[in-house]
Amino acid sequence: MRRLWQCLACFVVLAIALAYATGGSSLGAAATGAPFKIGVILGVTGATGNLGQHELDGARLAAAAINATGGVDGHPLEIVFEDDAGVPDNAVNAFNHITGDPSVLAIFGSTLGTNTDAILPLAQRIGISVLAPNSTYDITHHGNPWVFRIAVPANIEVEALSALLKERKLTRIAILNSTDAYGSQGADLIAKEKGLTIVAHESFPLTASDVTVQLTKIRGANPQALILWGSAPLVGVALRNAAQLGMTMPAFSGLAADNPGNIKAAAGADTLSHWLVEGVLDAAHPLPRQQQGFAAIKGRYGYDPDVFAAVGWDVMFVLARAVAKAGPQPTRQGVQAAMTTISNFQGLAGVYTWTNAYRDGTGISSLIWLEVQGSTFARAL
Amino acid sequence: MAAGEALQFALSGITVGSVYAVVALGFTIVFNATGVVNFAQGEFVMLAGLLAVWLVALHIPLWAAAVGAVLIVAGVAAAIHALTVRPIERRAGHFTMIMVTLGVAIMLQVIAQLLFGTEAQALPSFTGDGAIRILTATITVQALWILGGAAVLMAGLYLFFSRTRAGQAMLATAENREAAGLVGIDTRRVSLYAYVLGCGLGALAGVLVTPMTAAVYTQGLVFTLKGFAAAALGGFGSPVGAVIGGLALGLLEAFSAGFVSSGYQDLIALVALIAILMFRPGGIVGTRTLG
Repeated sequence: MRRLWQCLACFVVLAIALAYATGGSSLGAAATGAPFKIGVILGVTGATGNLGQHELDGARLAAAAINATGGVDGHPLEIVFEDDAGVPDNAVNAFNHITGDPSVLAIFGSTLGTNTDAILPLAQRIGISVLAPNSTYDITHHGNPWVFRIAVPANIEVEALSALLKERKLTRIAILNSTDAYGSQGADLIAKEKGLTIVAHESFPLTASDVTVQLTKIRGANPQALILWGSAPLVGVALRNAAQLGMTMPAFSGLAADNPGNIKAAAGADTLSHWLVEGVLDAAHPLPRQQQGFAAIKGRYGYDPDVFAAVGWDVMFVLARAVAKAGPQPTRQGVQAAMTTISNFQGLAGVYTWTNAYRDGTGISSLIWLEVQGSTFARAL
Repeated sequence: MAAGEALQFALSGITVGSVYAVVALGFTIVFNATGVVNFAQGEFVMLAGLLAVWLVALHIPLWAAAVGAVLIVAGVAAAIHALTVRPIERRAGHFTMIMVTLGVAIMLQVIAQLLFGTEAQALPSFTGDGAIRILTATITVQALWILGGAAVLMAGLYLFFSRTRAGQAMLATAENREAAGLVGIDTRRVSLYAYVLGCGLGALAGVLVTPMTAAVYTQGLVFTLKGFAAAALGGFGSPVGAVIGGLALGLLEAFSAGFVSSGYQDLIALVALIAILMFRPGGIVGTRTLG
């Protein structure tokens, strides 16, 4: 029995060590004042691990860049991070834990819209701003004055898709979406678009390893275009399966598919050459407002920043602006008030404006269409 | 519904089901020889896929990367057996053993995340990305590798258990551990071999299936659940049941997605599994013997 306990003790120690290794919580700072703390709750393990890690990468790097140039009026930004592993209960626990420290001024999170939904009522109750990196439409439509979306909302993603399909006269479409909140919501919004005829609608669980069955049914309906609404790597798997079934119609995806994991999962399938995906930056030609963040993320992590890394980067710069505007001794209330005055903020993932009435931050002007060139995304249109 | 589509669903179901069958076989072999329901089984599938991708990135030929990944995973399994199963297998109850295997699963997932990152990784198909038409349906060459690999594996396991001393020692240990010990079989060594063999089967499933999907550190749990469900459906402890259960689960998923609703494919497949188990609690085959 003693050896059993020794084994279990070894595991616990190892697990704790590994958990800390995956989620270091503070950043070094060149600024010398007392730190201004920002709570960060993201899903860097579990089903959203790939996306959450990129968001965290962007946020950490931005905080380091801000601190290296003196922080906010001499105060470094300190990230207080907890991983929710994509589980709403974990997000709530992390929120309660982080906001238990009254010096935490605002929250960035979470990766999944479902998790953000779970913490928003708590944020309203205690009065702390949440910068939400989610497209989930409902988040900014509950009258909660403490939420600020920092992502293109789902209805805008669908509006851009619909406009492109109609422009190309591809109105007989098939939808294949993931069954999570992002995929289901997108499919519902696409189905409501006027002028588009849905000839087939299929879905796949996040546990799927093959979507040949769904694509076989779609192929039988003979659509002009295939809408793949989901995230990595399953959109890539779908592209690969579509190529194997000889499907040659153009394919389109929303922002969540802008992730190199899909290109890898598609493994050079022919369908990549007629797939367009919504994105926020062109790696080959970043705009002037994007060059610093792009170079920093690419230089530090070695990948072209996708929408998740870009949003993570933007959050810290937006909050640095809001905290600075909130005065020399910023409070949660002061940061919230300052957030509603941020206008035309030139970010990596978009140009942001928030007011008391407008909570979505950015709109259709931030979106571009990307195509796959080699092993990366590049602007298509 | 056209017959061609039904054929396509059947091919897809058999392909995915073959992977479930191999994972379920791993569950069965480990359970029979050690009494452990190894909930880390799917993590070995994941680990082998990621290792193969890593080895290919080091410019090692694909075949060598696939073999290397299986061997490395077998080594990892031997180490895990020595550290976790062996010290407690005779003294710990089932719940303790299940908790230990769950701990191993979490540990392997975290290690894989640290070593290989969070992005999905692709492995090239063994012999190109071509597809073959069978009447109106299509099957990829990699799917044929999966079907062929699973068939060869099952035949090999049959020969191993029926024609080799090591295989028969495993059978004897599965039947009655104490009696096997009394006739001179080193049951501890048999336990190690069976654990490594079972986890190695998971690894083989991993290198076969990764070219069809992608490898990502989170996918182990899915294979654990599907492999466990397949083993339960066929009859937990029976290798024949594991194969039948795996193929049945794959076909259930494919036909429920094809004929009912793709959004509910997991739900329908698992409800069908519960229904079958209600009528046949021991599973389709319903035995707990090897061979």
